[in-house]
Amino acid sequence: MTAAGRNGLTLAFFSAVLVAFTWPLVTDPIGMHLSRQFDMYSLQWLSAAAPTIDAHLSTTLTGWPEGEHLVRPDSFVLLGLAKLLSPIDPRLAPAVCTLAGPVVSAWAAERFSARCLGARWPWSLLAGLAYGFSGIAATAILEGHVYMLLDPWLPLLAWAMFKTTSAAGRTWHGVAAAATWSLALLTSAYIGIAATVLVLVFLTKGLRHRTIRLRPALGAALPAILVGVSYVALFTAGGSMARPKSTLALGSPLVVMSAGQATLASLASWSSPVDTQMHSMAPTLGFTALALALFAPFVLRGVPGWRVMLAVAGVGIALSLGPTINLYQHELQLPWLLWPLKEWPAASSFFHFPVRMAWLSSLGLGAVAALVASRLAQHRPLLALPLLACAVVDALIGTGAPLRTRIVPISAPSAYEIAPKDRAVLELLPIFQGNVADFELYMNNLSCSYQAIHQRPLLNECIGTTLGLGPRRMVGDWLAGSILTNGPVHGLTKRLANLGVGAVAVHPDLFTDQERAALLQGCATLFGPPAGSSRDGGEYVVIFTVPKGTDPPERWVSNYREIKEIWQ
Amino acid sequence: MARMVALALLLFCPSLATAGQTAGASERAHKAAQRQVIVFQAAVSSRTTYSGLHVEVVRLGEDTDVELTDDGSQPGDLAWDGVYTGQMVGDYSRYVNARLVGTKDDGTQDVLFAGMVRTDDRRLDTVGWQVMMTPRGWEALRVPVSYPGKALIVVSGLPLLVAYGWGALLLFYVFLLTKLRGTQP
Repeated sequence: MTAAGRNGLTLAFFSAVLVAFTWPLVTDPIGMHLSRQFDMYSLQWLSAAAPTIDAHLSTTLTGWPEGEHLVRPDSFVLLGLAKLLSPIDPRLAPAVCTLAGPVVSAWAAERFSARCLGARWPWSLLAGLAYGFSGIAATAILEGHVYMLLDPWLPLLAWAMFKTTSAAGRTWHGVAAAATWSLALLTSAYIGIAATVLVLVFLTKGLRHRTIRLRPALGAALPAILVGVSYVALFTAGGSMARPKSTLALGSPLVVMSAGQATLASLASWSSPVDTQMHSMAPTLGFTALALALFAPFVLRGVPGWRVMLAVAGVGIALSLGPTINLYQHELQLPWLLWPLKEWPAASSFFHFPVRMAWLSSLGLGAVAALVASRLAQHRPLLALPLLACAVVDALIGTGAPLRTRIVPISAPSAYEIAPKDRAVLELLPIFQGNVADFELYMNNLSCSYQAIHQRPLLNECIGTTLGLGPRRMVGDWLAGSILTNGPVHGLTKRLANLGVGAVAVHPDLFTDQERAALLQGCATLFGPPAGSSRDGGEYVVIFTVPKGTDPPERWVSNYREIKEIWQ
Repeated sequence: MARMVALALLLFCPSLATAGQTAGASERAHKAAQRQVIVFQAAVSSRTTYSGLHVEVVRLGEDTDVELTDDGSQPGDLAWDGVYTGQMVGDYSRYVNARLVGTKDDGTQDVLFAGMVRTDDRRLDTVGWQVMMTPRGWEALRVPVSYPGKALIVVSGLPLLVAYGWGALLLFYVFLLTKLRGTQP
């Protein structure tokens, strides 16, 4: 079979697995998403807002009236992709990541195992299945961080580092390593950290074998340093160097990190409570890849190149377990590799999800497994053929992807269309406290995602997980607090109007019976009868329009800052 | 026998079981009308004195009471297994405001749960509770799917056991392949 034919079959195979892995997204990529958690909604907002984001990485569509700075977005690659897709529809970006990402990533891993390690087709498909359709890939879909699925960079970086740290390394191999490392970093900070770990493992190998040469090393180091320094400069300019405490970031760094670390159980399997209580964190390893990799020392005796990938896998598993080893949730609490991070609470406040280092283990185990299977199949290929079916079982049942995903419509309540287009919408949401605090984040992000459809500016801040900050929370608390504690206060309407607020969106179902009645009555007293309401799009929303204020738009920002000072 | 099979299915895979529980009349009705089905379940310990359970639901601005029963009258419900079930069908709602209320023999009522519940899936969503004694008295804790008695503990552990079984099988298979390769000339 020709190389083109093999590649065609490979793509067809991965595409078929993808359809099952993400079913039924392929039937309506723009009309639905599959995520269970709340992060997908801010991605939908980010991709829709991408065309409006200026050169200073800020937008006036949110954080009204000051605007919102986006120097720390989830993914610069997603932002770029959304900008590229803006002539068609920028909202396509998350769907493209979900539907094309696993195939591209799997293909890159398959090519890496074949080109660098010598795995033979079709056994090289095992590397692609283990990486592109891994437990951590399913976690990315369920969490909503789907830009991580479009990650051919780690396999390509492994290829580039393989060459760079070999005796035959050339300068351009080093440059390729720097380019793929940079793209990994721009895909996600976590993928960037995983890429850095991968580089360190290869460097260790190169230093041990004394195969690193100066020119390829410089070719890698110089561009990577340039990109890395620029990234850090942008990050540090973007705000506090310790993540502000939010509803999701209570307690010591280790407590916070425990929510985002792998456990011995979650490396093996998933169960329903993982999705309802543990933010869908189940980076299942895939037993086919694991079983094959465990036999590597016996099967691959004398074969070069695979040990470094087994080391990458080992380091990935070890790091994903985070600061403590736990069985199911918090049972064992054995101090582990990242335990010392408790001494640096500020730095570790940005590293809540060590589980994402499992991308390394998926890549490493898959690559080695493909090579082991190639060797085992040399004499009895038919007997080894079920390995491919087992890997597909791991991808579909082991990760649980098609069973755990939800079918969530991408829609918005039609009531927003009543709101004036030239002024902002204030979302009136209650404060959720305690173990339901996540619900406020969900509602904030959900109402951000509505903007992709209704196109009105919002007071919400739509990036980040820090609640209790931002104009929506401040102005909303001020309005709701005034109504619920003292009754409607004279002058509130004028103040809101002079902030450029054109409408207040009340979500009555979120409030208790007493609050609901008082809020609707209070808003009616302040703004007149509701301009409209709707029960479509999955929510009951009541819109009150705010009459235009007396101050010109140039004053809105200073008016807001005055109120902010009084509030703070 | 059917009860055993159903229980085994419940234990093995909650998601499949949930889908299976309503795959009958309600699912067909949903498909016909393209409406969302929300299933409420509450597992009640035999030690409680509640003679009835109902859920007060605010969904898309409408107040509705959903009676939960354990007499097998609801699709997929196993009669008298301690899991009370009820359901509502309606337009798509991303969340509901729910209050699970238990009624005692003397007619007094306890609010066992009150709060927001996400119901994102446009076809079918299950809202499960486990009614248990806590230091604050009887409360209903949210669970993905309700199971009778202490089956929840088994359910949490079973996928892990199945996964390890699958892993052991694969290790044996790869071991056999390795041995076969070793005997080749």
